[in-house]
Amino acid sequence: MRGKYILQGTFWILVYLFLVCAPLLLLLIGEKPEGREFWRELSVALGFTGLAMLSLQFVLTARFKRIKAPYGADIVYHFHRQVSLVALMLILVHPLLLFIFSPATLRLLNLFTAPWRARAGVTAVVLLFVLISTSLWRTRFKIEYTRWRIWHGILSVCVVALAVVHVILARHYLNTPLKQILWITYGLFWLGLLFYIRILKPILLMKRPYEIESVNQERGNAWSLTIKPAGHAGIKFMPGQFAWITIGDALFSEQEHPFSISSSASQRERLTFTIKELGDFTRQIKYMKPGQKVYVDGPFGHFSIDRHPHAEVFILIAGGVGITPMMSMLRTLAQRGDKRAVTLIYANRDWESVIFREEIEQLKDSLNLKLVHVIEKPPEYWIGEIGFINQSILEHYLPEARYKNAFEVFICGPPTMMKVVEKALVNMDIHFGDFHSEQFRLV
Amino acid sequence: MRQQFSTWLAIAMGMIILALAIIFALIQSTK
Repeated sequence: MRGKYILQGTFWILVYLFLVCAPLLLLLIGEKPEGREFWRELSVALGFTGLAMLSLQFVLTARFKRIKAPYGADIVYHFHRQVSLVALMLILVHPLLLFIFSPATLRLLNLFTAPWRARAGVTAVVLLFVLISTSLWRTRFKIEYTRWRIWHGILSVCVVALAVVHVILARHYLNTPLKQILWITYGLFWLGLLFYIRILKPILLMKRPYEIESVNQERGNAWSLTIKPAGHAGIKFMPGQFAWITIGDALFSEQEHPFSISSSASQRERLTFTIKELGDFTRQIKYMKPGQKVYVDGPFGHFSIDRHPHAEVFILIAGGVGITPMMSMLRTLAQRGDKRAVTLIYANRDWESVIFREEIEQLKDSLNLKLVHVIEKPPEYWIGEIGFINQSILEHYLPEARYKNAFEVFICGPPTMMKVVEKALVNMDIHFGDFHSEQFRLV
Repeated sequence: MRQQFSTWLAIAMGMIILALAIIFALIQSTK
């Protein structure tokens, strides 16, 4: 199974590289325009590859399950973020080379006198700066998620469209009808992709609506939203995966958010998402009413015990609301009557806010489950672990046999906790492929 | 740790793309 995912992952990396470099191949096909100085051609090549990278950003966030399966959705989003900086650098070097080796081109920066090709190019770069800075520092600029998401989409389309206008008006590499056709095809491919993401996919989602069945309060300011498919069989998922939920009209709503599924994967007739009140949208969950329509895009994510059927022992390490994918795993194992050994190390700030506290205790009756609570501020009568999950706690509770594939570790919680746990596991010589984590904050 | 993988992957992509852009410029400029 692991080998299959490595092969798939390598395949998608090669496809990405090919698509980024495809414009360069197209430029070299057939009759080439007259060659120019090296630095000018390098500048052009960086501009074209930068544009291709920006276009591919739409694919990375288009939720194609096959692309996300080998890596996990959080990693694809992280790559989307990091590679945007690489693309920005390539795009900035594109005009910089011109300015350095041909200072006369600096006049193109004057939008009042510059030709339209330069106006389009300069505006695209300025908008790209706005796009990337508002994404990197969204929380610092206090931009609300939904508003940011709408503007992120609009700015992205504007940047790519203006860059394409810049290429068309520059004309140098559109010298033959064949190349014009190839570039039109390339452009149509991206337009088609945009049509699929923004129009076709939401329409398909609207054909498979869900209805809210109940909204129940849990401990720790969390709410369990249970929905059932309306007129269809629902989705098949692996325990630990997540889905995007859209409230309102799927075609136009920007109220779309990713949440982990907390219900059992053996029970397709209803899905439960357990959501902690953390932001503007999550605070609205408690006001949702039974019968209200929602749409589900999913499942996504590689974070699942079902991807490791060989495992004899599972170690689940959760912090706060990071328990939700683990809960799906525990409920599924219980429903399947699976008696493989499970250790759950569960960290919380205080005893009263331990989400699913009572149900997990009950699950000990039907599972081969060892439960370890770690409480930061415990009550006076507390005799369990105190503080945060650290290497000493892990050394104490992890099985002594720590060879490759001896057990599979799943980690989900706040970023600081995940970093500490991953570092501790490395120090303990746990094989890198035997521990799995998923960030629940994608943007 | 997994995020470090994607950071390094992005950097590696950038290096490869830069190398290919240089090759393109060499081919095209010497014509």
